[in-house]
Amino acid sequence: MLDKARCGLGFLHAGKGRVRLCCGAWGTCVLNRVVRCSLGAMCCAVLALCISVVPSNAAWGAPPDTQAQQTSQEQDASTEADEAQEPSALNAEGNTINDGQVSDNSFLYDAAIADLVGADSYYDKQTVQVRGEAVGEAIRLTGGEEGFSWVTLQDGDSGSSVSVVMANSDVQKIDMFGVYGKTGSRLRVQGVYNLACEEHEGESDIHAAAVTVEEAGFAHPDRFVARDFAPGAIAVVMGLFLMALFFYARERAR
Amino acid sequence: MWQKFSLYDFRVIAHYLGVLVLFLAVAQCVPFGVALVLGEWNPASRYLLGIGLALVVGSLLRMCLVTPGKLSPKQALAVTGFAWLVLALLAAIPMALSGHYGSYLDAVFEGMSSWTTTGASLAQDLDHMSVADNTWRFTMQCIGGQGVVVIALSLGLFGRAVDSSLYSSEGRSEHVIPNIMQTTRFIVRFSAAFIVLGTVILTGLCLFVGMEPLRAFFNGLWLAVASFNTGGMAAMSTGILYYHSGLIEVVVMVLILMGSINFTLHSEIWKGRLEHFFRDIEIRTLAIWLSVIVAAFVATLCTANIYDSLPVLLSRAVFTVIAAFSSTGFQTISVNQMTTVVSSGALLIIVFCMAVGGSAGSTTGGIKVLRVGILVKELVAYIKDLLAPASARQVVTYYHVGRRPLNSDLVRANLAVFMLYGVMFLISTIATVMYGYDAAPALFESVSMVSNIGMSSGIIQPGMPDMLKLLYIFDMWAGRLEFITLIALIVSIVASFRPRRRLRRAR
Repeated sequence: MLDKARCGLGFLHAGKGRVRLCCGAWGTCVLNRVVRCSLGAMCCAVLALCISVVPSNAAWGAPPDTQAQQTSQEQDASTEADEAQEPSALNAEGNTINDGQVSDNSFLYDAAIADLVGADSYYDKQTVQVRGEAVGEAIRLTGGEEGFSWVTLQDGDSGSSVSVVMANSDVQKIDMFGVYGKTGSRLRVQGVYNLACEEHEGESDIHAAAVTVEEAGFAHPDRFVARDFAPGAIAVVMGLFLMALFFYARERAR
Repeated sequence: MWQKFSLYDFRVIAHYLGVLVLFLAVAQCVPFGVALVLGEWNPASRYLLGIGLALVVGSLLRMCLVTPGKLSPKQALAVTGFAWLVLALLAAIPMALSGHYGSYLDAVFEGMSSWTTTGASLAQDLDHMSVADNTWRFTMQCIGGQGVVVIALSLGLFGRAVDSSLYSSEGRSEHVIPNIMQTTRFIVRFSAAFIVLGTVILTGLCLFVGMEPLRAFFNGLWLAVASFNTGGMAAMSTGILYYHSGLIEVVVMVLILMGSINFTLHSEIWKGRLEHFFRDIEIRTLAIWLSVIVAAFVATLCTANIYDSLPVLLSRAVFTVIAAFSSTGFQTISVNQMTTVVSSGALLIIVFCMAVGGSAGSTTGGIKVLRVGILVKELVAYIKDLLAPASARQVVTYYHVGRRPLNSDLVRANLAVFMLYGVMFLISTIATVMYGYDAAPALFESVSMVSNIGMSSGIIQPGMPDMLKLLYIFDMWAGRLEFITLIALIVSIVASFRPRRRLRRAR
């Protein structure tokens, strides 16, 4: 006699006297167990796949369009970064500070001119790289080595300036110096910063080792706009009228 | 009883202030002309507006009283006192529109600094400033160095309605020539001669260091004006260090010394009376004082190990001391070096030097060495009195263009000025410290402002608090008038508006 029973998943199992694949109760059926384990494994795999695909900095809850846009921007940015071949940020965790480290002639990357103008002795005699606009003109270096000139570099943001001693061959690279109506060439200068230079009468300066022109200078002369003179002309006419009125009143009073 | 102003007094004061404002309109024609010639159209439009506004304001002020009488001493005091403020307020308008100043207040600060020949600046991006704007800054220094009233008197702008009270109220008590008009003309001609000579030499030196002819001329002119008038402003952000030339520094030093010596003594030398120069209490005090200061400053620089060679050390020290005592304010030791390399003791020595100042009757600021000399003389006489028998009576004299008696009135007046300067140094320092600045730089900056020096230890910047800017504007104004004029003016105005007490009727 065939005794048939169903387990929790609906499998039909043979009864007594046949191969007992199912005990007839939920949780004990072998097939039931196999199917449930398989389903669980598939769910875990899908979840793991989702987590790995979604970026870590995705804006959760943001509209799908925004997310798509962000993803594309990030892809563009990462492409550009790859193209520029810039090194990725270092993970500084776990680094230790060496208290015994003293200042030396290590290379200071991109020191701002404002930092040098307010520098303490730490910057003295260190190799620095500064960027700035060449202003004024090249001043002849008197009483020193021949073939060098002074060039003043100005930081556009802070308005600070620093004097640079550079070879005349480097000065030739400067096509324009900044004055009124002219923006000077933008230079990148690498050299040694001296807080009180022994060679140049104690001045604070940079002895340039390498000079690169990053942007050429350009002129932007004033344009004559008659409308700009209108307020002044009106004021002058009013002033002259009042002066005439005063002299008339004074003559009348006499 | 306090002196009071009546409504008529105010109308007279307004009238003469109007004359000075009209003079400002004429003065602004200088940068306007420069702008037109060089094709700097934007500055030209600004200075045209400045001229127009000065004409309107000047004419309206003159209309307050159409036919004024002769200026009384009290009115002259007020005209001189207000002149510096009114001129600074109006002169700032074209500068404020230039875009080189963070606010109108910054431009007023610059205006007051220029008129009073202080030389401190809040200008931004100075290296790109137009020639016209720079010309205006130096024109103000030129007029202010001589004295606004002196220039106006020499041009006869006040007519015959004035006496020596107007001249004296500007801090000038000595008449080179008995006639005021001739005295002022002597001062102006004498200064013009030195400025022209200095311009020629400095233009040549600027050409030598590699500047273009036009820039060399303007830089030479501006340096000569700033040096002789002890203004101390510079056309480039790095100041006098921009030129990197020892020769230029020497010429500048000579011009500063010429401007810092009493014009009366210049006149005596001109007349061939050299003994007046060398026997003068002012010159002797100055020689002793500067020797002490230079020696002390050199010693502090030696300890800092900033300069390796002795000539460089001496040249830097002497230049700094001359720039400080004369109220010029040029710096060959950068702000950074002053605050980080040099000891605070060096700052303190320069503070003393700035506080004492130069000669009376010159273009310098500060307490003045003549006052210090007289007070030292009085101190010696006091000690002598203590040691002498009770019956002994001594007559104390000092030599200043002839032998003069040292009376108690003179000592009292000098002590009053001495004390006022001291009080103002103290107030300004406390106010600066309250804003969180360190004590040494705060003292340095305050003395620099009150004495119209213009040297800075880094506090004077466009970003400093507005209240501090206002305080320093007041310091410069009061310091230029040597306090007495301004205090007398303020007291008179307050007394004028104070309601009168009702007289109690006697029952």
